[in-house]
Formats: sequence, C-alpha cells, structure tokens
Amino acid sequence: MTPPNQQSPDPTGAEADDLAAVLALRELADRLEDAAVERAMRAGWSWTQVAEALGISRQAVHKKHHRRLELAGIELRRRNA
Amino acid sequence: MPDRLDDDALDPTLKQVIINAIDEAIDRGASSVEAEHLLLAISAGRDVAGRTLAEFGLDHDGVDAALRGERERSLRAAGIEPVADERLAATRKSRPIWGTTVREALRRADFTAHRGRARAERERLAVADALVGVLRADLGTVPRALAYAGVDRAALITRLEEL
Repeated sequence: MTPPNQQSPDPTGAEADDLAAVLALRELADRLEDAAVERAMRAGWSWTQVAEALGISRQAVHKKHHRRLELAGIELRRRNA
Repeated sequence: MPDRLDDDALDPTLKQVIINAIDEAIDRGASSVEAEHLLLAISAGRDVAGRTLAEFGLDHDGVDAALRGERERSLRAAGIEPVADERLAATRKSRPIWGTTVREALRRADFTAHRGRARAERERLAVADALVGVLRADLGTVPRALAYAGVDRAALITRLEEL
C-alpha cells in the first residue's frame, strides 16, 4: 500500500492556488488565442493583421495556426498574407 | 508518446484507454494530453477501474464536473471569471502532444503490482494500475479536483491496490 506522501504541501493551499492559477490562465490564453485567431481569419483578416494585433511576427502566427486553420477549411487571404 | 505506449507488451485494454485519453484532450481544446484526460478516459470504462471510480462518485460526468470546478476555482484565484465555452470554440489540432503529467502518471504506475497473477488477470488490472499512477500525484490538477470534489484520494488508492 502506498498512501499519498504526507510530506507534500496541501494541493489546495494558498501557494498551490497561485500556481494552479498560472496553469489555468495559460490554458485559457491558449484556447482564447486559437478561437480569436480563427474568428479573425474567418472574418477575412490577413496573417499580417492578426500578427500585428497580437504583437508578434507574421511568421510566428502563421507557423502556429496555419495548419490548424487549413484543416478548418478557412479560405485564407493571400493578399497581404 | 508516453514510454509505456512503446511497450509492445502493453495490455490492449490500457492502450485503448490511453488512445481514448487523446480524444478527451481534443474534446476539451487542450494542446496536450494530460493526466486528467487519462482519468476521464478511465472513468468512461466499465472495467473494474471505472467501476471503482464510480463508487467514489467519479463516473465520467463526476470527473468532468470535478475538473471544471478545479479550473473555475483556479481562475478565480487570479481574479478571472470563467469564459463561456462558445467564446473558446475553435478548430483543434488533430493530435495534441503528450503532456508531462500523463508521462508521470504512467511512470508512477506499478505495472508489476500483479505479476503473481495469471496473464488475463494482469491485463484486467492494467487500467487500475494506470489509475493508481494518476492518483499518486500529490500536487496539480487531479489532486486539486478530487480534493474540491470531496473525494478521499488515499482511500481510493488503497481500494485499487487491494484489487
């Protein structure tokens, strides 16, 4: 029998709450980014415009989302893309 | 891919549960397959592991509610109200990556726990062994979710180890 380690900090204590909030915020930000980029591209935004709004390079946003949005069947804007 | 999946001798039932965990991750818009997705997949099964979870109030709906509750509490700890699922709807990657917590869960699992038993019996209990690996994490999403849901994690582990 292996009971949970009694020396471990409380998983719902104040410190654990702060760390869990970081994880939850990262997960939320990732999901919100996927949804927001997809919504903008469906509305006809270019990669350059999405990148500018996110404050990152066009290459970075393209690399991260291009394949996913192609799978979604979104007609991607080529001009200024 | 978790190291256990490289194992040709891996019990086919457990392999299927691990594959189902990928679908659980995709359904939740997760970019990686984590221990909580393995827990969800195990809770959906009708084998002894799934039945034992259900006895502790953790059928698939119960696990899902516990995990949602944990995320909501964690976001509120940072002053953030939960965002409606509709605003988060997006096309997902077809294949999320393997996360650290699912690797750790399979590493913690003791698949030799029933080595004295017949092969069929060992295979029957392989999912329960993996579940013990998930439950042995003392910190993180799963222990928080179970604590908030009022589940006695130590008692659940003991019960599974007695199988």
